[in-house]
Amino acid sequence: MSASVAAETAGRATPALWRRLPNSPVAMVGLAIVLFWVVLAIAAPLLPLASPNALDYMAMRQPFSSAKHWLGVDPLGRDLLSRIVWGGRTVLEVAPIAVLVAYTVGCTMGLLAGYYRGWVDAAISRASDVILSFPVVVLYVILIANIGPSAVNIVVAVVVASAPGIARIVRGLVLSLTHQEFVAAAYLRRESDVFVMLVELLPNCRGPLITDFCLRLGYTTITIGTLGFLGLGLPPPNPDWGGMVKQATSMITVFPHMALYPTFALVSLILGFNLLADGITELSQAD
Amino acid sequence: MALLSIRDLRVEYTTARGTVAAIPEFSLEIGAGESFGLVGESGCGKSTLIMAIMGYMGRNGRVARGEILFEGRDLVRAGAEELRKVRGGRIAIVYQEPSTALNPSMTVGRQLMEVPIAHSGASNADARAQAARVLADVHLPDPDSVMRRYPHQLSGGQKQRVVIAMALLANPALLLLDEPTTGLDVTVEAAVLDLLNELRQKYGTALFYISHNLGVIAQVCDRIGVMYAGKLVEDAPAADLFAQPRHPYTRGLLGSLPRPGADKRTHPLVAIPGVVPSAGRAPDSCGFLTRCALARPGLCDAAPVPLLATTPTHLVRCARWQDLPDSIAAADPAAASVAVPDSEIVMQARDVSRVFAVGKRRLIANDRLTLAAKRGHVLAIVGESGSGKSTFAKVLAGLDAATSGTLTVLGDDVATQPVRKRSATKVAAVQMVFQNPDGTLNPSHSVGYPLTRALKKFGIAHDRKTLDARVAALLDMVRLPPSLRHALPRQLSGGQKQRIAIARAFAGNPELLVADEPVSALDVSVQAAVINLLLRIQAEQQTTLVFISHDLGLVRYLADEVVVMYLGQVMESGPVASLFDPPYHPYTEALLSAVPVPDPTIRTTRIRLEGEIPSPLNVPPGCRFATRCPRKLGAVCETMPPPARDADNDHVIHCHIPLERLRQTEPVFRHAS
Repeated sequence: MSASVAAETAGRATPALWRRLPNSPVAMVGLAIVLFWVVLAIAAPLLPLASPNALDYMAMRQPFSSAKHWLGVDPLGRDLLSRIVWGGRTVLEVAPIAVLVAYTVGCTMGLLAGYYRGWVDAAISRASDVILSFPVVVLYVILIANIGPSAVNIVVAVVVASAPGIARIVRGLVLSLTHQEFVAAAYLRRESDVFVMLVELLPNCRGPLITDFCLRLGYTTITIGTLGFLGLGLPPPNPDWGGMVKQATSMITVFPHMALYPTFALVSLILGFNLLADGITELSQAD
Repeated sequence: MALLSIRDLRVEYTTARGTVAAIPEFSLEIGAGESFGLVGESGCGKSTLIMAIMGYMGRNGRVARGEILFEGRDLVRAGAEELRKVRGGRIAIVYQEPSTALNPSMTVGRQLMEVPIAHSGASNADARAQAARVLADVHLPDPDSVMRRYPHQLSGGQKQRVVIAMALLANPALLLLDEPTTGLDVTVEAAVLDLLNELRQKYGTALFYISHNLGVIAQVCDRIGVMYAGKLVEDAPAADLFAQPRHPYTRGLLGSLPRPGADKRTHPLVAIPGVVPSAGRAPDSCGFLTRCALARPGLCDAAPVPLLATTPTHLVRCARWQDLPDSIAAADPAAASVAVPDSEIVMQARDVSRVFAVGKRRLIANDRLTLAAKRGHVLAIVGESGSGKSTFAKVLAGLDAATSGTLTVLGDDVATQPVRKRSATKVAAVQMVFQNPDGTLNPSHSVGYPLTRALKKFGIAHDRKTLDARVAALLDMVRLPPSLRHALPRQLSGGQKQRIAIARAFAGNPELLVADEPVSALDVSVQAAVINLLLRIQAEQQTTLVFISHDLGLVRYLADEVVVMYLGQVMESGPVASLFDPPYHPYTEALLSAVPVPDPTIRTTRIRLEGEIPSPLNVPPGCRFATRCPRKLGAVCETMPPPARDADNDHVIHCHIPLERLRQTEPVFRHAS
């Protein structure tokens, strides 16, 4: 008996998701792009870069690539490469924090709605519907215009806009999971509601949530770029990819590189997150 | 010439781990009009064989060798157009799940009419007439109204009749049936089996019936094949197979089934040890080698064993068939417990009702239930689905609360106390094992987690060392190796998951265990092992077991007392022996007559219930069973609640028919002389 148990057990084990990631080329490309930006962001203070806010008036006359400024300078004579690297650092700090906070709020809402149902569900779901009925950009503009542009307020805006979507996913999963017998078994151990929600239900939502997390990182990167472009991002002189594009638009016909380089940066990071999400979906469907 | 002739068939699947032979070698012949049954546990390759015949193997499957000749044509090498004509025309198939076989967005009539239109180019009017005729043949009342309905407006049994009707429309020469009654209630199953027998006479169609249930096969088939690890291991006329099973696997399957009249003390079930090897992993010589108690080294593992003829019609693939002992000893004799003495009552339900509010209407799931369970006894609650058994189980375990009545468990009334309101000791004292092995363990946590957690919550162990020791002891109690505690549920088989569920239920040393159909989702051989295990632990610990089941064969085997429920009420209750002999409640009689008996020498009274179990939203005012009762007396049954008639010795029948007349009923099971 024990021999057959061992054989059977060994034969059917599926390794954890992160171990299987190399099986998906798409996921690996996405991961490589994301890691490229992460490494640059972490290493930014160590790299021999000019200060992102240092003005080089002499470079203004010839703002294209040069030995001193590899990617050229922006309309104020600041080094583009340095601003892109430091700007990436901002995005990679703000986006994950915003998404994590949104997840905390969204999962809590979804768990409460799906678990308690009744009026709790009605209140949470209707409130979510109201928020989701706004076009996202309009919502951001209204929020930031009212509370003022800052890193903290970007996080607040992202949480308000994303949490209802996350709550909806979690609620749906919890609704079906609560009928499972392992939840009844937990009640028969006198587990508390909080324990059932966090330990029995939430871990079983992780499959769809991991994919959604990567996608949402991409969306949030777009959001931060959009807000910067609309002048609602980080207040100047902080390097901010969206803000850099905005500053360069007035002279885009003369000096297109000033807008193109930060746009490439933005696009590549978003693509990285999306490819990673695609790859993870592919791997979880192959199970 | 045989109608279907499978010769030397080999079916392979390409997987991430290489090529796997799901069927290494298979040969079979079925004659015109013959009824052939193929049995084996899940994973033996039965469904793969059907898929190969139909040519539906998917992208990664292929027939590597051999031929499937049907009416002289080789289906393996037939072109797509030729196959299309054969499928649905000359060969029809009925699957296990009738709800997925029908298109939910089309009326039943439209779907039936498609068959003659596609296969014989019939006109609309002609197709409609044919469809109405087969619907009448499968005994669906009012075929015209059925044709206008959508599948969701039909019950499971009705849908399966529609699927069978659809299969018969093209007048096929061969009907493939892949577990067609597995999801149905036992009463509905019996009616479908009757229907198949009748249609076979009428249409002269050959049947190829696949099932894991030998009892069902015995009702329908003349010849039975036993399949194991992708090979045919025995092939014999039905009567021969049951009278003289040759292959150890066949004997194992029969030993796993409770025989009519047998109980746990006289005839303990004998489970087959181990599990079916996954496709391609069985030994080449004899696939059953690793699980066979009678295997002899040097003989059984030497060379591939051919099919040997013991008589001209009885074939067996066993190298030792001539010198096998007559009986196989019980591998787990501990299951045979001694007779339990009469003891005190630990659970007493009095007038327990559970009524759900559905809008403004009342759904009566449990209606004034009165029943009791004694310490160390097994109380079985039986009835069709919709009888309210599971609702009562939930109320008892505290997952739901009764609307009214008293439910005394170990001295306290817990009728309106769900687990949150019960004390810790009371919760530990009443535990539950659930039906579905796949839902019973949290897929995110290791197998040891629910055990550790239960031990902690019930205050049995706190420090790591005691916990580890207790978890190991629990795993040992359910005969699983201690290393398994770190495995994840998806790495376990269904039987192993149910063992863990049993271990979890016993972690708090319960006084009362509620088991809601704990083995109905398992294969027969695994069922026997899990039942043996449950009964052994129950007897050792003197736990009271409330066993919910629809399987009367199993109930006869393991229960001490039985309660028969119908539409939320008790119809009959009493000691197990008294329930299976007259006097019967007419409902019990009908349930018993529907049991598929795995023994062709036993004759069963044929009683088939008309119609469906009424909705609990709209219960009949008098006797609940009056609308379907074949022995209804008249108006009194429809208007007056039946009296409780005390037959003797705690045996109570709720029926208007006088006891004297109930006593004159002929027994349902009789030996054919």
